[in-house]
Amino acid sequence: MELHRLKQHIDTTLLDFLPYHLLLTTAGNTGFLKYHDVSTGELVSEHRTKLGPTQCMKQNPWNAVMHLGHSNGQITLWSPSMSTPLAKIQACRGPVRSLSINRNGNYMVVAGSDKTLKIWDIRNFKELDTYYTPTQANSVDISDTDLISVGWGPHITIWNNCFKKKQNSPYMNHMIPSSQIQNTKFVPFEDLLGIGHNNGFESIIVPGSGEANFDALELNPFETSKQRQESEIRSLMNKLKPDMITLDPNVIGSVDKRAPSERLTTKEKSQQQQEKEQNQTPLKTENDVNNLINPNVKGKNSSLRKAKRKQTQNVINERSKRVEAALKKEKDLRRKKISVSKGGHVEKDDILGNALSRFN
Amino acid sequence: MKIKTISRSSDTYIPVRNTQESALPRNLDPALHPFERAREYTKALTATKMERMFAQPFIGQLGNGHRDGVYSIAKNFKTVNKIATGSGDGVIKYWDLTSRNEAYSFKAHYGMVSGLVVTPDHKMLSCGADKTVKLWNVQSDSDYRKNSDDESVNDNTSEEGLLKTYLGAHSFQSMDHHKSDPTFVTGGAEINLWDINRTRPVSNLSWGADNITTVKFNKTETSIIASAGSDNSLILYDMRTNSPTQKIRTTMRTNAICWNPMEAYVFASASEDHNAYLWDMRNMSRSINVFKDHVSAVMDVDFSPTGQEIVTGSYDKTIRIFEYRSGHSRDIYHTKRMQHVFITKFSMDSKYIFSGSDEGNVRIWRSKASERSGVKSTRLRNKLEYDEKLKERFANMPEIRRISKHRHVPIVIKKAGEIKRTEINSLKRREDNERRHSKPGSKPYKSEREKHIVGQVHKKD
Repeated sequence: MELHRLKQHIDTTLLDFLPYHLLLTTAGNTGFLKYHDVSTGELVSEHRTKLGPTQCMKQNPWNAVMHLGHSNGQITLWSPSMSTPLAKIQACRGPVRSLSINRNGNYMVVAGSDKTLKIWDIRNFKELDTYYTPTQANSVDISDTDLISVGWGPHITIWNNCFKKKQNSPYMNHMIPSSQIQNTKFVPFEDLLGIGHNNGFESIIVPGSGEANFDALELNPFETSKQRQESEIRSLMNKLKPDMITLDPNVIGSVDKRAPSERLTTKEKSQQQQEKEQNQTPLKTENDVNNLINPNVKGKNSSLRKAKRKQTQNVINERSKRVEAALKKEKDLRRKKISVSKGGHVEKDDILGNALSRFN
Repeated sequence: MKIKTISRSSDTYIPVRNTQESALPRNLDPALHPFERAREYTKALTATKMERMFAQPFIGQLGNGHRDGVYSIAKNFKTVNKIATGSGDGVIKYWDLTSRNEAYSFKAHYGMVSGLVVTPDHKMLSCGADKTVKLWNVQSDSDYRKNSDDESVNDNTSEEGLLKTYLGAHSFQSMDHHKSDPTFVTGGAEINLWDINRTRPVSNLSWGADNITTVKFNKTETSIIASAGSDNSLILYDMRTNSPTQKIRTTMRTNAICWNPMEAYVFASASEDHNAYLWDMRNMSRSINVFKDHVSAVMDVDFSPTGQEIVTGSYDKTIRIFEYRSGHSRDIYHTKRMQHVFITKFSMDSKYIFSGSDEGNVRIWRSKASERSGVKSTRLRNKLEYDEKLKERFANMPEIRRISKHRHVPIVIKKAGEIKRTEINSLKRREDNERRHSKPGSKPYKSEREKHIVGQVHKKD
């Protein structure tokens, strides 16, 4: 029985689900990334990657940004509100085979067709380490305790402490003879690794791979049906909006401390500029007045005089005083200049200062 | 070597019997709780919307109210469920709040009842324009009598009603009773101190010749009295020295005074100039807060018993609630039928507000519009507390701020507010222009908190 058909998704090979935003994300051979709201049934947004068929897709569980691996070795980061990628990373030469992000959203592991396994710090987009796999890796996965499983050929290699320092040898090795590993995935809250290969499915015990202390009010492996019903309702009520997805999830409710030149969009800037021009009075600060001083002006129509004439004659306020002082300064400068040009000696300022100036 | 792996038994987590609580282990590692900010914000937004949805401040009215405007309400400071009201036709009523019915009703005075108090020994004292103060017995053991046998019935019946009449030399405008002593104070042409057991006033505290419209005993520092007069003055008296101590002259008349029950030196006054003011008795050269927002004279002000909030009733037919330290109101209450509000009082448990208005009804309001008084389960209580904290955390987010601030205000009051704002702005502009065109420093800025003060005098011995 067909319950619901999602007709908008064509030729998808990759699916993912953002649990807090209730968004289904799909990507595939068409090169489109689509976000589908599961609670309302509406397509939220679709982005054209323009990079051919998508090779692999994983979500960053910390900030819900989708990481897409492409056949030119690029990894693009997407959010539903931006039609262009938030960031692009040239991760390897040749197609990206698989990628995975750890649960803090700090590190990303990328397996490429060039037989590399690279570890990236995605807080500042820097490559940490490179490892090599004997053949192309098919799948990588990161466990809750930051163990990395890499499936290549019939082998599975498990690395430990890779994010702390470069490792010389793997933590564990496992082989399934005469088979190809297709996919590996750690079981949440358990010390188990599930392996999908050509001949079926296997699971192996990997000590220390699972989160031992779960939080029952967040994700409870032992929840009763009643609790599940309640948490379903709660998750619907607390559904996050798609446009809350950003690279920094803590940006909500915090003050943007960047300078306005960085923070504002061009539209906002031009708006502010317009408002400023409307409110601006011609001469406001000391600096504005000083900028206008030009000793080369001979005539009586200096811009300062214009500014002075503009005001009503009998008003004495701070500004008019400033203009007056500036005019006087300009006059002095001009007199000095003329006397110098006529060969007279330069009058020095009164060095003795105010104490003796009254005897002049 | 033994290698340990995670193995959990469902027996430890799933309850065996349905009466058992299931174990809920917590792990506060932030990695297990992604999108903390966004999720809390969403919850805060929902909580704010819910609060506005549940905001229904009006509860009902007491009995059938009065036949004339209600101009005085007296709290019984000793019990929660009794109040007394007095109206313009000289009738005073004593109400039982649990049933919202009147327990006693007396025709007390010719003309208006101008002052009403419930004494600490549960008697009513009323004063009126007919130059009398009357003491009424409302010993509310009527409930007790209903339940007991006939023997005790005849004990108190004769004592019910008027106990005593005090004759004054002038008509009274206001009165208040001491917190514990058998002393009361009346205001009128002069301010008099009375002993409840004597027929003549004990002393006259007058300072100056004008009418006293309001008197209030301090309930904490019990020998301090504050009064407001028709000459726009606020006067403080000390009963120990039997004399006034200081006087403040304001630009407009003060309609009511209320002492803060928690901070003995702080009191609030309701002024004719649309504002209420908060004063510190120790330094009255400026008020410590100005409560703005009303668009007509503020008729009454009352502190909540916690001292954290004040409620004001105004001639603009609205009631406003202010946080003690903020300048603008937290909430506004109004109904279509409520006329000029002359008196507002907090209940003794600070959960309700009583208002008396011109059209004779005594209304009961919730002091927190969205709160419900029923017994709450622990879960609900926890949730409400959590929501409260969330709202506090994101109070300044634009969306949440907008929703929580929005109130429906009658068009008349909205218009009046707009007109008032333009008036104030044009006055300000004019002042600025004057300042600009006069000698610098000759027209200093005056703080909003001392604008309304004309002068201050201390009594010299």
